[in-house]
Amino acid sequence: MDLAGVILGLVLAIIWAEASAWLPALTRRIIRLAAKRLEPDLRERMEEEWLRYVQDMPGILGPFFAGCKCLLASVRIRPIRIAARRLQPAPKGRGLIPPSQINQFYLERLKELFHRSANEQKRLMWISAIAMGAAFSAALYVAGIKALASLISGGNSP
Amino acid sequence: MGTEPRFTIQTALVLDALMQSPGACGSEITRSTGLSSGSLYPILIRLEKAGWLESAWEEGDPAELGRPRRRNYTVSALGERKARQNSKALSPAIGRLAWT
Repeated sequence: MDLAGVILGLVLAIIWAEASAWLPALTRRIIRLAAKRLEPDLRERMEEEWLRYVQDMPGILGPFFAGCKCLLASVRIRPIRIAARRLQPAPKGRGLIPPSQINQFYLERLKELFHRSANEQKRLMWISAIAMGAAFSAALYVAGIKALASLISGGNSP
Repeated sequence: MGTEPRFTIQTALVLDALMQSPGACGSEITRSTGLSSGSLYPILIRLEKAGWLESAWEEGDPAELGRPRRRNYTVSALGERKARQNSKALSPAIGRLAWT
């Protein structure tokens, strides 16, 4: 029984060390992905800013969750900028819409854009929620096994 | 300068935090407002685009500092004026606003 406790403790320590080593790299990747989703002029700035932001978060899981929320921020920032860009008037000589239908045209485009960005936002929110849920379950699992291991080793100590 | 941003409670909280401590970075604003990065950064970008906020990198080279630089935010004169104008409408909802 003592041997099982030692092995379990060892395995848990390895899992914990691996998770601690991988989470910062995973967080960096998430932030790069979030920055990549932005307009080119914002990418570099937001990447550096978010990398700094997550460093200020406490604990091991804190930066990871902050990184996931940066991904959500990039989803929320992007539609505003795309909408602003798409609503620029057509270049001279290329306007194929009669002036009387311009308002209707832009209204339709806005509706379409709103619908698309809402769907995209929903999808990414689901992905973030699943990722966060998985990370939280893993943390709970590790904590639970640690508690069990300490219970087993505590129960066997004289 | 872009279009006029909506003045929501979150916007007011961000402006309030920055008026209390000018030159704060994202994590400091998160600490004082309780807004997560998912809500905070879209607001910061909107306000900066509208000219209500100004931002600048902290001095120093990231290679020398050994870490990414902070981006410090301050409320511009326009932002301060807009915040004072709009806070009247929101002040019953937020007890913290005391600019009026």
